[in-house]
Amino acid sequence: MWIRDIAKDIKERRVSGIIWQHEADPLHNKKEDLERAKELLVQALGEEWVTDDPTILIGYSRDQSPFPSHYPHLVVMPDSTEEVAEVYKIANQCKVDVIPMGTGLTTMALHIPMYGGIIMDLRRMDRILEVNGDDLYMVIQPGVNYLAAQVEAQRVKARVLNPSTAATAGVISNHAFCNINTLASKFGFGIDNIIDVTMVLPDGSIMKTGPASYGAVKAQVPGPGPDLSSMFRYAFGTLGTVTEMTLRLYPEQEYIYQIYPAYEKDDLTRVIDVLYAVANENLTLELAHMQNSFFGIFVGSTNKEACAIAKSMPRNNFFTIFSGTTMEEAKLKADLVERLILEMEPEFDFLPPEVMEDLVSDLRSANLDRWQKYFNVTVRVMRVRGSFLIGALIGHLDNFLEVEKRMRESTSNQIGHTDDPLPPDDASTYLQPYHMGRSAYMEYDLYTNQGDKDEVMRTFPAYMRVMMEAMIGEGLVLACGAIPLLKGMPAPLPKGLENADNLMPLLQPNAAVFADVFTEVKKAVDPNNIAARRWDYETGLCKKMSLI
Amino acid sequence: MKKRITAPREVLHELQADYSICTKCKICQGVHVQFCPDARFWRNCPAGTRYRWDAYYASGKMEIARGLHVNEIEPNERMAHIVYSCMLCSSCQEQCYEVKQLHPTRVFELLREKAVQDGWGPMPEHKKLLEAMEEYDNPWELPKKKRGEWAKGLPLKNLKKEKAETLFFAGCTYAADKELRNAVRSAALCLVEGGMDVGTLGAEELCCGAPALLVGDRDLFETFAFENIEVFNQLGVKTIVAPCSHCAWVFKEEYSREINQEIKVMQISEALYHLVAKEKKLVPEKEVRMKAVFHDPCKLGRRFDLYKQPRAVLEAIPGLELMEFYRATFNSLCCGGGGGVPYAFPDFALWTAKERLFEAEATGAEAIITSCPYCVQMFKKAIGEKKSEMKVYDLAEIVLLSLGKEV
Amino acid sequence: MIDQGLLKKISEIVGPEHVLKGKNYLSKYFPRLEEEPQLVLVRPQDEFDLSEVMIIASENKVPVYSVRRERMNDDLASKEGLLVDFSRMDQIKEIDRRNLMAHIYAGVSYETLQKKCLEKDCKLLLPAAATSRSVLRSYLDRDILLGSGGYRAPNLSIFHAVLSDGRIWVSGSQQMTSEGIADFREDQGPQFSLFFGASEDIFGLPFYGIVYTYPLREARKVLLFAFDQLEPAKDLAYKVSREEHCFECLTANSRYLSVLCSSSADEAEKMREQLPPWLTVVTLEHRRELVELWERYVRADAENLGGKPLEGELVEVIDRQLQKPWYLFERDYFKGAMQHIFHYDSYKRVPQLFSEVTAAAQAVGYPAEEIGQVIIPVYFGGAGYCESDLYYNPDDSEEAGRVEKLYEQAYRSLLDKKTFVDKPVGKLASMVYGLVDEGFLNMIKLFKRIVDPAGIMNPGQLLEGV
Ligand SMILES: Cc1cc2nc3c(=O)[nH]c(=O)nc-3n(C[C@H](O)[C@H](O)[C@H](O)COP(=O)(O)OP(=O)(O)OC[C@H]3O[C@@H](n4cnc5c(N)ncnc54)[C@H](O)[C@@H]3O)c2cc1C
Ligand code: SF4
Ligand code: SF4
Repeated sequence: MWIRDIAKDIKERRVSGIIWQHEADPLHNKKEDLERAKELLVQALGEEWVTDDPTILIGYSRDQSPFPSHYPHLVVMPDSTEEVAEVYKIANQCKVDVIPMGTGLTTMALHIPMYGGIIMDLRRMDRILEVNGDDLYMVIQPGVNYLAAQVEAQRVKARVLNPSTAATAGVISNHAFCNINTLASKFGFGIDNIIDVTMVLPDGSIMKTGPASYGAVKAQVPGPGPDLSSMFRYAFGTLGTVTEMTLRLYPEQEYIYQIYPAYEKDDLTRVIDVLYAVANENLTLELAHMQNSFFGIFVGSTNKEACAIAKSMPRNNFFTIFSGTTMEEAKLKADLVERLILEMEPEFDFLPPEVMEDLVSDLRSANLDRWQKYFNVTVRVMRVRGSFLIGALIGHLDNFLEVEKRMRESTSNQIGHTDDPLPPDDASTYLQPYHMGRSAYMEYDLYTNQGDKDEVMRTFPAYMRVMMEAMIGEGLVLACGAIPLLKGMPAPLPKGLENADNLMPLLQPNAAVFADVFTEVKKAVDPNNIAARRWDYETGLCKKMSLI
Repeated sequence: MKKRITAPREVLHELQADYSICTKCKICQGVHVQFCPDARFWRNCPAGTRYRWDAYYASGKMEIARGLHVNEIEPNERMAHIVYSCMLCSSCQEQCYEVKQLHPTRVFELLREKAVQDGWGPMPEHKKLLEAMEEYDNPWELPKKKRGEWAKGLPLKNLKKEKAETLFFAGCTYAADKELRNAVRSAALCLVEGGMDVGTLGAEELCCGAPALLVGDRDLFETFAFENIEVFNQLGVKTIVAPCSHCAWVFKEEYSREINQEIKVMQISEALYHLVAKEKKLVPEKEVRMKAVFHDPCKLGRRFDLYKQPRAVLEAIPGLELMEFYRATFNSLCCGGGGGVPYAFPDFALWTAKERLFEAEATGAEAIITSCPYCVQMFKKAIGEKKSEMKVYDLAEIVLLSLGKEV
Repeated sequence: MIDQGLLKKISEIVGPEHVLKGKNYLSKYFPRLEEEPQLVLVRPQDEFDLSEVMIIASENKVPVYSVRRERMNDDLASKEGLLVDFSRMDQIKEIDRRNLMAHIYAGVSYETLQKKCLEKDCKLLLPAAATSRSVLRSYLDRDILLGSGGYRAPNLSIFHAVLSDGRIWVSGSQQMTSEGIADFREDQGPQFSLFFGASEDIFGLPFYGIVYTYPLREARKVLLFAFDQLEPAKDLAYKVSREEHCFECLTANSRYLSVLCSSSADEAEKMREQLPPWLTVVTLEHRRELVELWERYVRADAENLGGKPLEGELVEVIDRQLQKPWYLFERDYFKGAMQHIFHYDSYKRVPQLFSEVTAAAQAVGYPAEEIGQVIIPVYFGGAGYCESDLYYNPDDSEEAGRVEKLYEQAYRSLLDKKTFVDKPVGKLASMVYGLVDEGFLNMIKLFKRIVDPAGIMNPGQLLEGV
C-alpha cells in the first residue's frame, strides 16, 4: 500500500464517520419541522444568528463530563427577551426542543441536547443593564459572566458572590444551577441573590417577578406576595428562560486580611467542630475547608508541582478571609477567630503568610491578594486528569464525617490505589458552610481523564457508588435539584414501577408531591414539552439522562 | 520551484491529549480575571467576540480538532472560516495554559497545517500571498530591486559585500510599506546610534516565511527558512535584529533549531532595551511630550514574554507618560493583524483594530506605541476609519525622536 | 356546604370541643364583630388532624381559611367555611443549637420560643412589625426583623404545609431526605416553596417549620443618637449597616418610639416629650473587643453626622423593647386602632417618601406630627423598610374616614413613585396587584389551580380585587 493511502484507509475504517445522529423522534425534532423552524428562526433573529452548520453545532456537543457528544440540530443566539420569546413560539409551532445555555459548565452535561433540538446560546445578551452600589444590586442579562459582573460590582464598592469556577461562567445560568461560593457562610448562595427576574415561559409569554413585576424600586425583598423569582432555579430550562435578573450585591469593605489555619491529622472530627464554631462566629468574609490536595492543585502550576505542594501541606486547611473598614478591624476579627480555634483545638496550626506567599509567588492565577477578588483557580481540578466527577452534597456539617469516610473507602475499593500523591481514588474534599454553618456543602471530586475511556470506565462506577451511598445510605441530597434530574429516569423494575415517578412515592413521599406539582406546572406552561424536554409526557419516561 | 526541506514535524493528532480533554471550561474566553480592571474590557478572543458561536473560541476549535480526529465532522466552508478567522494571538492559550496546561493556539496552527494538507486551506486570498512569495520572495509583490530601498542613505553595511556584527533584517512588510518607512529607518538608525555595527541584506533579503507558516503552509515556510538559515549561517554575524515581531517569532521559534547557535536573535524592542535601559548607550534626552499606551504585539508578548523590555525603553523617554491598556501585557487584545486574518477577512480585522482603538481612547492616551508592522498598519486603518485623533508610533520612532535625530 | 353531618365528621377528627361556632369564639379573631359569623372554627391537634379535615373540606368543596393574624380582616367573618387555628399545634420539636435551628409547629409564639432558645444559649431574630405571634407565620410572611441590619434574611429553612387534598407539601431538602440530615431550605427542583411566602395561605396551610436561631454573644451595646432631622439620622443607619457595624439598627421618630415603648396613651405622650425628633438606634453584639472597636466607629460616624449620643434610662428602655417581639396590634392601645403604611425603598429616597405620607396627611387633615415613622435597614442598607403608623380612634368615624383616605392617598402617591410593597393585603392588594405584570399573576393563578384545583384554600385572600 502506498504510504499516502494509509491515512485514508484509517479514516475509512472508522466506525463513526458521520455526525452524531439522533434517533428518529416520532413527536419532536422531525426533519421537515426543523427545516421550517430554521426558516422561521432566520426571519425572527436574522441569518447571522441561526445555524445548523455541523462545524458550529459541534461546539455545543460536549462539556467536561465524560458524556459522549450529542449535537443540537440548530443553535440560535437571540439578543433580547422578545427574541427569546420568538424562539419559543417557533419551537412550539414546529415541535422542536429548546435548551437555554449560559456557559455549559455544569459538569453534568445539563445543557447537552440529548434529544437534539435548538440550543439557545444566550451569550449575545451580555449587557449589565444597571449597577447600583449604594442599593447593592445589579441588573443583568444571561450573557453577563462573573468576570464582568465582579469587576463592575467592585467598581461601586460591592461584590457578587462568585463561585469558584471559570470567571467566564454566566451569572444567571450559575444561579439556575448552583452558585456555591466561599462567602456562603456569611451571605449564602444562589437563591439568596435573586431579587427579581424577567422570564420567558415555554409558550413564549413573558413573566416579570419581584420589583420588576411593576417596575418598582429594586428593594431587596421578595414579593409582591408569593416569591416567584427563583422558579427557574433547578428547573434546568424546563420552565423557560430567564432573560433578565436583578442580582443582589454585597458590601465590599476596604481592608482584607487572611489567615491560614491548618490541621495536620487526616481526621475530620475536630475539623468539623472547629468549622462549626468559626461559622457561628460569622466574622469571616470567606470561609471554607479544603484538603491539601485542593490547595496543591490550586497553587501548583503543574500537576507535578501540585503533587509536591499537596504533600507538603497539612491535610486540612481553612480558607479564611476577613474584611473590615480598617485593617485594625479585619485583623481583630482574624485574631479573635485564631484564638477561638486554638482554644478549641490546640493542634491547629497557622501557616505563616510568607509560606503561602512563597508558594504562589510565581503564579498569576493564585495571587493571594487577588483570591478574594476572584477565586478562579478551581478550574484547575480539571487539569489533574482532564475532567472531574463531582460529588456535590448538602447536609449538616456533622453528617459529613461519616459520609466522607465511607465515600473514601468505597472509592478506594472501586478504583484502587496508586502512590501518586493525587491518586485517582483519593478524591479531594471540601466543606463549605452555609448560613453560619446551619447546613453545608461538601464537594468530593474524583479526577478522571475524559479522553481516556478506560479511565472513565474505572472512575465512573466508583463515582456512582459513592453518590448512591451518600444519597441513599446517608440520606444526603445533591446540591442541585435532584427531582428534575431523576424525573422519568428508567428503572429496571416490573411494570408500574418502571420509572422514577412511580418509584418516588415509595422511596420518598415528600418528593412525590413535589414531583407531581412540578409535572403539572411543566405540562401547563409547556403543553408541547419543547422546553428542555427531560421526559415524555405520555410515557413519563426519559430515554436519556445527562445526570452523572 | 524552491528547494524544500522535509524536517520531522509535529502533526495535529500528536496534540490529541490536548484537544480531547479540552473540558469546555471556557477560561479561554476572557482575560485573566484577576487583572481585569474594567468590565467593558473582559473579552480576549477577537474571533469569539465578533462571531460569538462557541466554535469561534478556542474551546470550540478544540472540539473541531477532536471532531476531525474521530471523523465526526467533515471540513466545510464554515470550518475554513472558523480556522482562518483565528488571529493566532495566543490569548486563549495564555489563559488555558495557566490553569489547564493545554496548548490551544498550537492546536490551531496545526489545524491550519492539516487544512492545507487536506486541501481545504488556506483561504483564496492567502493563496495569492503564497503565490507572491513563490514569485517575488515576498508576499507583497515587491520587486527585488526595490527591496532595499527603505535603507537609502542610512549608514548601514551591505552584508553581501562586507562583514558586520549585526544583521538588521527589515522584513517584507517594513520593506514594502512606505508608511512604515520612518519606523524601519528609525529602528536601523537607533542601532547605529547605539554604536552597533549593522548591516543588511539589501535587495537580497528574502521573506522570513512567517506568512506561509501562519496560514498553515509549512512546506513553503520551510523553503524560506532553509534558504535564510543558510545565508545567516554564512554571514558570520553575531546578532540578528528584526524590527518585525513576526520575523523575530520565526527566527526564534522555528529557525533556532537549525541556525548557528552563536547567533543571537533579537526583536528591535529587545535591542533597544539593551541600548537604552541596560547598557545606556542610547540616552534619550529630548522630551517627547505625550500620553501613550504600549500595545503588546501578540508574537512578542505572549510568545516570548517580552513585556518589560519595551516598557523600560519608554519609561526612559523624558516627557512621555506611559499608560496601560485595560488589557495589557498577557491580557493584551490582538490588534486584528494576526494570523493572516487581514488578508482573508479585512473587515473583521479592522473591526478588531477598532475595538482596540476604542480601548486606547478609553484610557485617555494620545498615542499608541507598538513594535510590529502589522499592529501599526491595523491601527492606522482603524484611526482612518474612525477619524480618531489617536497617533500611532513604532517604538523605535519614539526612541529616535527622543535622541533628537531624524531619519 | 357546611352541614351538621360535615361538622360531625370534623368533630370526630379534632374533637367536638375544637369545632366551634359563634361570636363568642370568633370575636377573638374579629374583635369588631357585629353580626353572627358564618365561619366555623377548627383547632386541629396535629398534621394528621389537619390533613383529614382538609380531605373532608375538599370532598365537600368547603372553603378553608386560616388564622393568619392576631386580628383578621372583618369581612372574612361573614364568609362560609372553616377557619383553621393552629394554636394547639404548639410543640417545639427541637432546638438544635449546633445547627442553629429550631424545629417548631405553627402555634409556637415568639415569646415561648425565644424563652426556650435563650435557655439553649441561642436566640431568634424578633419582628419589628408582626401581625401574628406565630413565629412560623411571621417568618413565612417575611415580616421585617430587628437584626436585619446585622444578619441577612431569610430565617426560615424548611416548612411543611397541608394542601387542599390533604397531601403534605414539604419544602427544601426534606423533599429527598429525612429531618435532621440537611434541613436545607432549597427545593429539590424549581423553587416552588418560595411561592408559599406571603401567599395568605392560598396554596396550602403551613403548620410546621424550621427557623434559624443565632448564637448569643459575649458583649452587647446599645447606642442611641439623637437627630433633629431625618436625613442625617437615616444616613447613620445606612452607614453602620453598610459597613457591617451593627446588629439591630433603626431610625424612628419620637411618635413611633413613644407609642412602641409605652403601654398607655399618657405614658406615650410623656415619653414623647423626652425624645428627640429622630433617634437612630444601633446595637452591637459580639466579642467584647470587637464591640468596643465598633462602638468607636459608630460614635465617630454619628458625630460626623451631627448625632447627639443619648445615655441613661432611655438606653435601657429601648434595649428592653428590643428583647421583645414588636406586634403591630399592640399599638392599638394608643388610640384604639392603628393603620400602617409600609414599603421598602432605597435609603436615599426615604425622606422624600416619608414626606409623601405627611403631605397626604396634611391634605386629609390628619396631624402629620402624629404619624409614627420608622426605617429599618435590610441587606446591609441595600434597602430600608419604611413604616408610617396612623393611630386613630375607630369609634370616631370621621377620624377613621380620614385615616382611610390618607392610607389610600399615601399609597397611591408612593406607588406612583414606584416604591416596593412586598405583601399587600386587603385594599392595598388590589392597588398593587392591579399594577403588576400579567405573567406574574397568571403564574400565581396557575400554581393555585394546580395545588388547589377546587379553589378552597383561603379563596379571595391574596389577589383581592384582581
Ligand atoms: C472546574 C469547575 C468548578 C466549578 N466550581 C463551582 C463552584 O465552586 N461553585 C459553583 O456554583 N459552580 C461551580 N461549577 C459549576 C459551574 O460553574 C456551574 O455549573 C455553571 O456556572 C452553571 O452555569 P452554566 O452557564 O455552565 O450553565 P448551563 O449549562 O449553561 O446551564 C445550566 C442549566 O440551566 C439552564 N439555563 C441556562 N441559562 C438559563 C436561563 N437564562 N434561564 C433558565 N435556565 C437556564 C440550562 O438549560 C441548564 O439546564 C464548577 C464547574 C467547573 C467546571
Ligand atoms: S481551550 Fe483550554 S481554557 Fe479553553 S475550554 Fe478548552 S480547556 Fe478550557
Ligand atoms: S488565538 Fe486568539 S483569536 Fe484565536 S482562538 Fe485564541 S484568543 Fe481567539
